[in-house]
Amino acid sequence: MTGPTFWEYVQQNQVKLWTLTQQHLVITLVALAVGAVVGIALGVLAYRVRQLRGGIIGTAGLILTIPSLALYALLVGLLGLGALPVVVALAMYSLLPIVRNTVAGLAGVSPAVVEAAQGQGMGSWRRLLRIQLPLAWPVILTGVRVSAVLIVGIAALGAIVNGPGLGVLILDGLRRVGSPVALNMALAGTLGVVLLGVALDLAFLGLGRFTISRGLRG
Amino acid sequence: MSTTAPAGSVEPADLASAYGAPVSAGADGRGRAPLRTVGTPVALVVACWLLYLWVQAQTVDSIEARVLNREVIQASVIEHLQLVAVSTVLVVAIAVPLGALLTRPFARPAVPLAIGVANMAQSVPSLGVIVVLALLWGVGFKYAVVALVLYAFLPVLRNTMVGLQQVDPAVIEAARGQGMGRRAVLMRIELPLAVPVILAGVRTAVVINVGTATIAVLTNAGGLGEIIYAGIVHGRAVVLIAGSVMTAVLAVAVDYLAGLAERVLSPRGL
Amino acid sequence: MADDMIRLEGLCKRFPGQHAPAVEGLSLRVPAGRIAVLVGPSGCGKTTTMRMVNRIIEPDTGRIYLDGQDVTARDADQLRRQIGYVIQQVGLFPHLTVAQNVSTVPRMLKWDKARTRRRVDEMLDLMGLDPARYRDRYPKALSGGERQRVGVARALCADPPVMLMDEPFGAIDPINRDRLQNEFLRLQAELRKTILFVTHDIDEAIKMGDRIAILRERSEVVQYDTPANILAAPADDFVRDFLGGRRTLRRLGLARLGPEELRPWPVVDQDGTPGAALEQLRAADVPAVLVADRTGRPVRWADATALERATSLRGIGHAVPGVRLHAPLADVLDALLAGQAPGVAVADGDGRHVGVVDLPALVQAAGRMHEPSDERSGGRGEVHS
Repeated sequence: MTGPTFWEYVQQNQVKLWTLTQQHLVITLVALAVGAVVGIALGVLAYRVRQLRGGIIGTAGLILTIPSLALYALLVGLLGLGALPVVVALAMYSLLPIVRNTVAGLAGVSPAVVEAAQGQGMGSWRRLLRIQLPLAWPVILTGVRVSAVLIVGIAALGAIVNGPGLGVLILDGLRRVGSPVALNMALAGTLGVVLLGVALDLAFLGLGRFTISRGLRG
Repeated sequence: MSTTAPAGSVEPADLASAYGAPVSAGADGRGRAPLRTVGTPVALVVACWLLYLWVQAQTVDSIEARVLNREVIQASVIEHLQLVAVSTVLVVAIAVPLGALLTRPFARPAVPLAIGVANMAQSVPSLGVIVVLALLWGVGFKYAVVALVLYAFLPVLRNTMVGLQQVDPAVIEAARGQGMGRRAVLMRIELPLAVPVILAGVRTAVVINVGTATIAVLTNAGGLGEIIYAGIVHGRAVVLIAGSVMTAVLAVAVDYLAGLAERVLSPRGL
Repeated sequence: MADDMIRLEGLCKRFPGQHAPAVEGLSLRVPAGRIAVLVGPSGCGKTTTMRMVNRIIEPDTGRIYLDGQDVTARDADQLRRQIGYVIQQVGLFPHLTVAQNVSTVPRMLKWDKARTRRRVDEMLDLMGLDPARYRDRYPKALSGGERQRVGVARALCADPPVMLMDEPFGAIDPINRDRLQNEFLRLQAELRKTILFVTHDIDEAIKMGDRIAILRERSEVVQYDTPANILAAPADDFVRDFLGGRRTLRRLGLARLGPEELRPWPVVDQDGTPGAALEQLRAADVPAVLVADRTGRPVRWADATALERATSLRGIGHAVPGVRLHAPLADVLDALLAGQAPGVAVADGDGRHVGVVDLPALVQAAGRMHEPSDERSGGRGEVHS
């Protein structure tokens, strides 16, 4: 190797790497926020209306089978190039774990507790918001965490449709095939995504500590 | 299932199960199974037909015509399926024996490590794997297969290990107590009982491979990704949409067939 | 001793990372065709001991003899094919049918197909499972009791001379457990296997065992004797505590009603007069007389008050509780208390009335149980220590 070592490359390009990492994190989190809101809502719907359950979970699963390049490209056809199709695609991919865990979490709430709440005169919405969702929250949060780790990797491919983030670095590396920095760029981009995934995983574990009722924690 | 999932998760949601057959899993959809069995292929055929009508209705320029013709599409589909088939066979051939090896008593200390790595590897971008390998070794079908194998390896390895570990110890003890040797217990009791979980992992691997194979276009390995990529590079929406719909149809079809195989190959009585 | 099918000598086992050995110097002999029960508190090493016999756990030191042959160093898999093995969780292979489960060992021994199939059907029949109905079922379609029956059939299929049973009925509800125990004892009377049986339940031990080894920590044998002798003369306080209270009551379950306990009792014909009956009652100095039906079988009890008021003996007084000769004394006591009668009518094997046993006679019989002996419990094997 005649070029700089990997560490030299990382040190020399700190600012660029940091910017791309931030972009990557932002699109992941924005997509995840959209996915969580939609996913939890769909999960509640699927839990309450049994007839819809198979359809909703099946559709979310179907989305996940579609190759990411195909989904990105389809959305580019509708929304044009850039960050928007990437965010929409990632939000769609994040649905299945969130929906499924929402249903599982709600189904895991003891019927006795729900009946007790009903007995106190709580209405159906109040029951959902004050009793069922908080009790199901640890399971739902796990779903969100799984989705985060899942889409942080898929986000890298967004670079093909001019999306932002660490994928740009990987694609640049490919374009410079033959140049000594090519491998460093691709490696830096790939490892950056993995580290971001680990960080998100840990962050969501930490979030659980704050947002799960102390009564539910072991 | 997952070492990092809290005890509260009713249905373990990890990458393997995130891709895995959602409709056949859980309490939902059991009664809908026959409808889906017929519904999916019908829906896929209808999607292809609508796509065909739509493309026919467009005025196609020379660039578009060069990509959207029978020969190119047929070749791409075959290339794509070859990539998926070869890499899936290799994944199964390597990951299942390795998973069996790692669950033998002498390897027990390595299990948490293997599962930990598998969990961490969930966020490895497929783009990164393909590109790094291409830069390290070269481009073409062979190297694309290596990348696909690496990328789809962990779900099968992990499901093999989980499937083998889920076998009721009492069943193994009973088998040993009847005088079955360790090999016989593995081949005749443990592996058959782990088949449903292993197959779920294989199905996940197939789906991942179909997806990763679309990116193999970046390393000149062909496949349906070529059509999509041509659409992006030349800015042709018709090509872009036709390519991605075909890829999506192929992916869903392959997943559907894998699901059927899963059902047929699982031992009765489970 | 040539008669000992299982002979264990000085077995020791210490598990890695544990300070105290799980089994320390255990020696035990089980005569051919008998059931020896290992019983003791949880963690005493009884299961470990049993698993050393088929070497699921390899002993550190000591020797295992089966039918006089040292099998300590034999190929473990070959050895196990000659030892039936039944565990509490059954461990049926869920992906195989009942027939495939039962034929596990014959198939490994390469029996031909026809013979295996015949044997499987025979085994299912023996366990009270209709082969035509059960052969092709999968374990998930069986009840707990059926599963355990299939487990026993699997263990018995290759006709091993020795069986190891680890709490085989432990996971089954009390009613079915009782039924399975009885079935198994009936089967054993025919098959005469040599059985090492592990349980933590002293009642099961007393019921199933020809002899019982009471174990304490590290599988130390505190007492090894027939159930009757252990109940009559516990070796020390540990055994006494383990047997718990109601020791005498339990012995009543083992001791049988003999002819020497019977008292003659006045029986009057139902077509006789109440006056004559009253006379007989006073002459015999008993609280009530038995009224027999036309066949001579006593059916009712009639006391003095009833006789004085009655005009006919038909349908007078209370129904007579009855037991058979050689019934467990516990059953006699039960009939006596439930019947609210001064005594229980006893019939012989053919149903003929042979006499009455009353409370004083029962107390006397219970008192006689205190001398330890080996023949009173129905010939369950000679004392061996």
